[in-house]
Amino acid sequence: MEPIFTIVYGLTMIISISINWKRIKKESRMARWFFIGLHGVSIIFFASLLWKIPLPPLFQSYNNTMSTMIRNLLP
Amino acid sequence: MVLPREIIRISDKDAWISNLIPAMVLLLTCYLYYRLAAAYPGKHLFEISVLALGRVGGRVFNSIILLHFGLLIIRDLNLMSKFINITLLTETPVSAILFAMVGVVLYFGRLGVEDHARVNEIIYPIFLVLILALPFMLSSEISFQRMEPFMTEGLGNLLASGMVNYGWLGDIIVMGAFLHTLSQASQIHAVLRNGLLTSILLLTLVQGCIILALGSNLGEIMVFPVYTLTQQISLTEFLDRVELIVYAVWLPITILKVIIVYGAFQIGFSHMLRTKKKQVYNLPLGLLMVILSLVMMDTMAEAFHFSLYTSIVHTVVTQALLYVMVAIAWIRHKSRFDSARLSEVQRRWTIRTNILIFCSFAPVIAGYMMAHDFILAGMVASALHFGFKILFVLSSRKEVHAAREASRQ
Repeated sequence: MEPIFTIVYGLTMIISISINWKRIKKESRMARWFFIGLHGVSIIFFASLLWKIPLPPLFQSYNNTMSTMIRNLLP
Repeated sequence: MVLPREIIRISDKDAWISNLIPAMVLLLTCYLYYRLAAAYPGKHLFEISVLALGRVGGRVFNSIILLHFGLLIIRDLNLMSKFINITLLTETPVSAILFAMVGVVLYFGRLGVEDHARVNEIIYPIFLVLILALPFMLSSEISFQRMEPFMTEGLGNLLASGMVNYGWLGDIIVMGAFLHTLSQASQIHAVLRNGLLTSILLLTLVQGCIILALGSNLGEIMVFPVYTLTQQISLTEFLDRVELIVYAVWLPITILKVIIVYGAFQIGFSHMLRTKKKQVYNLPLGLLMVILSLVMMDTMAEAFHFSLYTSIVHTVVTQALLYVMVAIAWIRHKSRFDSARLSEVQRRWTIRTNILIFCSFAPVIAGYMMAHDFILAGMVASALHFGFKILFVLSSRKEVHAAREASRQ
């Protein structure tokens, strides 16, 4: 992954949390958890890209299965 | 972007006809949206689903629809970034292109649907003129022999390529999130039909031009046949790189599509979390979109498989869920659904458009039955089919005018 992408992505993440933290405190509990969850998922995927940690290819397997099924239906 | 390649692979020279079949199915979606908007005025799809299916059922339905919207955004961003990286900015990393595009999407995400519509008002006419002018700009490259013999590829192949078209045209489901933006349900009916039928005509023109200018053999092996097609435009020696002008219009229109899907996603997301401050989630959602676009479809092959085949499954599932939801809503709140009425003039134009749609379909059936024995029959049927396509778009435009006049009175 390009170093510039790492810097920009990391900075944007910090800005996103710092700007919205005060606003999200006033929201419902579910909204707060969603906010934390969104950042959490982004951080996990970002870390996996940064340190090349292989994640389970769940989406890829799903995509392969579905596309193969449809391709078999098509002429 | 990549759709014509697969359609041409399946139905070869007849690829340009194949988009009428999914359009006929999706006209039902437009009709159901009109009935929903009339039955539940001022409410969008996510609110209606909760009213129809109850809190739990509505939330499950909304979650599935939102997941579909999210995947649509990731698919479009991924394909666009890869396209720009392969054809225009070969030295720029995909991640940088993605960041730039998501920046635009997030900027518009802070604004409302009115702003999106106003930007569309500026770009869409230029886009329309460019597509309509495509056959004339390519006139030196076009040869009708490349399309001959007409209507001989078989109805089975036509249905299969119609299915691939359905995977993309099914994106019309996002308009459900904007049902509350128009006060008159009759306007929603007219506008959705006009939009769908106009897109059918434009797709026909583009796919037809690919076959006429490049030939079906080249069209099916090219990664981005539309880009190659625009590269063929050579008006004079002064205007040799017209494709850059075409893409200066085409790219904003495609990003606008992502913006509209993102707007629909935000409406659903805010409704699910019961928050009015959608801006809070703007940046986190943008970051997630960038990273998921990079991780989920890493290679071009994966992006192709997802956009061409897996999208069909998603469209079929979401459309089926929508139909089930509307059926339950109709049974539960029958009295609400009785209120839908079109004005007399609009109703008349709607019937005329429906007749013209049927008329454009009839020559296809007749052509496929006769073209193997009489080459001329295929040719006449193709001409009739195309002529009726133009007529039904003009007629649907009249529906929009009639709906507008009725709402003024």
